[in-house]
Amino acid sequence: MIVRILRLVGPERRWLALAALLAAVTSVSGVALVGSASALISRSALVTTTATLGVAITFVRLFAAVRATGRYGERYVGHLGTFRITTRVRTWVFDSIAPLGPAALEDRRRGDVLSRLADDVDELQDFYLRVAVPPIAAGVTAAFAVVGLGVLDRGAGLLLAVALVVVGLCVPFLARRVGREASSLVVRNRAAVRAELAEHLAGIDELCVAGATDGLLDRVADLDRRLVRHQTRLGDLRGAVTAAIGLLGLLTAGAALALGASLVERGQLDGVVLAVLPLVALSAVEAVAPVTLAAEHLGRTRAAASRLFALTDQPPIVRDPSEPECPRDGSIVIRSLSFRYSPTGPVVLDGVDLDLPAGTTAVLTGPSGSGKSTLADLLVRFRGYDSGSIRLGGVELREVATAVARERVALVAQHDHLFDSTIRDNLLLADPDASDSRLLEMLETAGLTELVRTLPNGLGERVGEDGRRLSGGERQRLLVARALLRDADVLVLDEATAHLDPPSERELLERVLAERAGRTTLIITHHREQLVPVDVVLTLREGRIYEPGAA
Amino acid sequence: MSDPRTTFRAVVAAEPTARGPILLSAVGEVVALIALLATLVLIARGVDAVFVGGRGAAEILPLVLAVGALGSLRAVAQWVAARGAGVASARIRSSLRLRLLGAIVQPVRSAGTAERRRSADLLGVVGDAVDSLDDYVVRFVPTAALAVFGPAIVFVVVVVLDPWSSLVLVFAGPMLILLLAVIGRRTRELTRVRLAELSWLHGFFLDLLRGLGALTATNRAEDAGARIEEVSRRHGATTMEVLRTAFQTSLVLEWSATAATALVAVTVSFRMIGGGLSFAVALSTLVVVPEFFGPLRRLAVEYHAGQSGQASWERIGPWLTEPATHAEPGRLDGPTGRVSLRGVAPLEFVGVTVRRDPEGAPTVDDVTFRIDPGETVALVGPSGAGKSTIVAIVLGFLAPDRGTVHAGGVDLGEVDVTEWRRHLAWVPQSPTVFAGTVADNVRLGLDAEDDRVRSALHAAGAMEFVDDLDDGIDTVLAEEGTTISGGQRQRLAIARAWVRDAPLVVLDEFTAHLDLITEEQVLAAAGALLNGRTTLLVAHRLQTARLADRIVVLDGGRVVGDGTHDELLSTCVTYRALVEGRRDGLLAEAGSTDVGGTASEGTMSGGTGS
Repeated sequence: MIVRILRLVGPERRWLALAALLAAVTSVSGVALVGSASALISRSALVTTTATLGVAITFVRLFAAVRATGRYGERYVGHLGTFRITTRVRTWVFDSIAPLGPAALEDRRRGDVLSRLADDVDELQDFYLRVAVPPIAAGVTAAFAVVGLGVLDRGAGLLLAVALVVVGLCVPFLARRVGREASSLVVRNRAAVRAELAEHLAGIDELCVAGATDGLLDRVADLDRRLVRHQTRLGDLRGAVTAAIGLLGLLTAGAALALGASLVERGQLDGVVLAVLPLVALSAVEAVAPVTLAAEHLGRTRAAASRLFALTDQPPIVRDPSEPECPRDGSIVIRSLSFRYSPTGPVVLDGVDLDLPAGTTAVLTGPSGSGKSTLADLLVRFRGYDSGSIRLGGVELREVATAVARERVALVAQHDHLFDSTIRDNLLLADPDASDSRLLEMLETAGLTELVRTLPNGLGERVGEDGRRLSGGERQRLLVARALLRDADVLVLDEATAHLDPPSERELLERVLAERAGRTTLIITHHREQLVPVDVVLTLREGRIYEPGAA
Repeated sequence: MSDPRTTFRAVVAAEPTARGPILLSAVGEVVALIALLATLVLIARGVDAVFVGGRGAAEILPLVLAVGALGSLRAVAQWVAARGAGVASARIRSSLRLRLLGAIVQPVRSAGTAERRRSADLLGVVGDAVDSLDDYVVRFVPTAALAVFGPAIVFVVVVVLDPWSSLVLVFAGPMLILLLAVIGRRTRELTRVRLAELSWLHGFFLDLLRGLGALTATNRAEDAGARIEEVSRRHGATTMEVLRTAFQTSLVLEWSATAATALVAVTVSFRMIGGGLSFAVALSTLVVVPEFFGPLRRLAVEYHAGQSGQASWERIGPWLTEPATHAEPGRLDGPTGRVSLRGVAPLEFVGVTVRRDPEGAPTVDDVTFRIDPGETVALVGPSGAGKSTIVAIVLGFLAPDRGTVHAGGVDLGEVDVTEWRRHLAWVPQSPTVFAGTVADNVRLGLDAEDDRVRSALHAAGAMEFVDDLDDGIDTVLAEEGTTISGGQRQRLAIARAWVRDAPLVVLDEFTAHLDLITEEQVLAAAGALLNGRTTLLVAHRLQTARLADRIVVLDGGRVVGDGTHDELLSTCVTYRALVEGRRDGLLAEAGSTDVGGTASEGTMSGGTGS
């Protein structure tokens, strides 16, 4: 998994490597600064002129300069790298999900799962700077310090090596083992509080009117107490780890001092470098300490990555045919089409037969949940079908390239999306080359001319997140205009005018049908009464089509 | 952003029982620092004893043991500091969460706060914002406290050790304060830019994910991937320009810290050679000086926690200024609920006016109408006519700015809201199904026997589908797989209203989302509920309005018609236009008229579709 996360970065790896290099250089210089400064002072105690200190002073200055500059470089490169990596990871995730189609995200549409997906991507990009870089810098510094002390005395090097292994490997490992349960409890309890809040805040007005808020307060207090208890435990653990690392650093320094003293006593070590032993040991331990934090982060990024990979690794729901054919016109012929969402799930479509010659206008009604939207999804190839046949323009839909099928069939979905951009941008999605006059023409058909005329920025007005600055009706009109721009052989409107009152709805549909003259248009609605005159009225009930219009 | 110090004080003072732990935490940090300084000096003395004094290893053993002991003291102090901060954070967050919920369930009094409550991301405030204060209290607060005391302590130690070296710090000290100010300003700006950029990119990405269906259907999904790349790169480039300069503050900080260390090292060396300084003092000074900058560096590391904590507090703070008593009357400046209710009907609106903001046009303008006992009155009118506002007043979410509402002859402003609400039942446009059993959902906090729940479900025509569920009324809803349809939801809500047996019923566009077949069934169920009760019915479809005894027509916040269907047809122009559909786009557009709910009006055109 870690290899896979690393591979995602691709060429941006060099930024990562540079950040790691700079971090290592900075960290090493810090330790070297301590070492050279203490050696300098020790030497000054023995000499009588400053002349002999030249080399040591130069080293002190060098390490100081490298350390300060290195830190700046590390931060700069680190942030630059993060931005680039974020771009790559986001692009990769989107590019991996896009071919799967919206159905891949469908089951995840509940609650705020989509935003959790975006959060996971953010979490993943943390991996590189917070998980990958610190251990590298720590490792390089540790090796440098161990070798440095080892040159002075092999025993001292060994002592430091043991201490660094404990702080850099054992403590993070132990902390993770002990902390894993605590942190998963925290995650679970936080989710519980959030779920409780999410649900009850959504219906808070009803609870207020029903006078049922006391129970909510009690339950939240109760859940919160539990969450806080686990969080405090985790906090205690973190505090203990910090304290333990600090103690280990000082103990190592003390032991290095004792060892050095006995070496000096036995004449095996020059007293001038005695100070170097405890002080370098201390600063080396401090340099390795961040590994624990990285290990803790690793747990989180791994969870995020595994959720992302599970999503992107899904097989595509609809495969392109190996030898695609082209539909000849906008006719739709469906025979014995059956569909269920999962092999064991309920049957949604149960032997649907439907004939829409090219240019037909049709209304498909039926109670909620009768499978109308499913049928629309099948027509634009959001989902595949196994049983039965759909022929578009005389060609089996399965044998049509998905891109071609979607070019021929335009859909206004029941919960279609408007992007947080301008009216123009949202329309251009349907036809990137359309001129403003053509956009205005379609807006006229959709009944939005007046609105666009009164807006200060006209077509350039932003519609807000998912078109929230528009009213429900204006939103739907804009979506209809977007679909009309496609000028497709087949247009499917899935409850696309449900937010308009019946008279306006009728008028809009009349204009749409006039615009669509000669091409196939299928209007899906739950209205039982006929709003506009069409060639055929069909009813979908319990997965089958009835033709009350013919009766 | 507001002043960081104000936020700091407000968070620390948010919960009185958290002050002790916070103090403990700060003391722990300070003790740990002092222990560290002592240990460092001891190590320097040890080196001196062996190197200069020529002592043997055995002789400095007590000193090494003392290092261990002081190290342990430091560890304990650090742990105490962490624990204190953790406990404080727990107390602060628990208390805030409940206070926020308390503020949210408060009867909302003015139209302004009602609007804020409507539009706020409540979950984001009570959930995320409160959660993210954890890092602020646990990491930022103790670090900030140490950044104030730490350098002072180190300075004193250096003065005692070697007054001359303290001159370096005297020079570095004001530099530091200056830097703090600069960092404070520039880093704040930097963080703001960076956070804004990141959250914009996050939102952009999320928007494309949400629109994957639209992108796929238009064959534009591949372009979108490229667009993410392009837009991210462009944004990244501008941000990096800001970062490049802003990071220079950190460069200066690092430089001054490192330079001070190097400067002390070199000057003490020279002074030792001159004979003016002992090795022990020189080495002690050298090891202590860097700790002068330590707390500040830690603060820089925790800066992000400080920033996001502050951002969270800015979302939380405004809610806490609301008065926190539970049983407030329904009026802004009215007396407390000392008048008891005699009955809900007749319900009379007399000259009621509500403005969303003091200067703006009223949303409801001098509205007068009445509902007699047992009568069903329908409110109709285009979206933005003021129906939602009137319902919000009846439900006790809003008080009129002018005018009065009387129920059974008593001014509602004098009645306790909780008491008032006990007398009404509300069926909203999209009822919420809460996690729990069907029976729990019908009871909604009410004490009712199972048999009564069953009769309520029966009356609401919901028993059929409930019987089909695995465990009948004990079936757990809202769990994976047990979703119920819109019509079933409405019937559940009607059962909910029925079981309360309230004399006043508010039906709020409750069939707007249903198909006609289901609507008829739900209307039939509602008929059973209305029987003999006083009812306010907000009608989306005129068919529904015809069920009422009387219809009140609203337009532009004013009552423009009041009478039966037939009377209105001949007297009210607006009503006739509504019925005949001549006024295009005039009727309510469903989804934009939730009462005190979540949907927003079409703010772009301020009105209707075309």
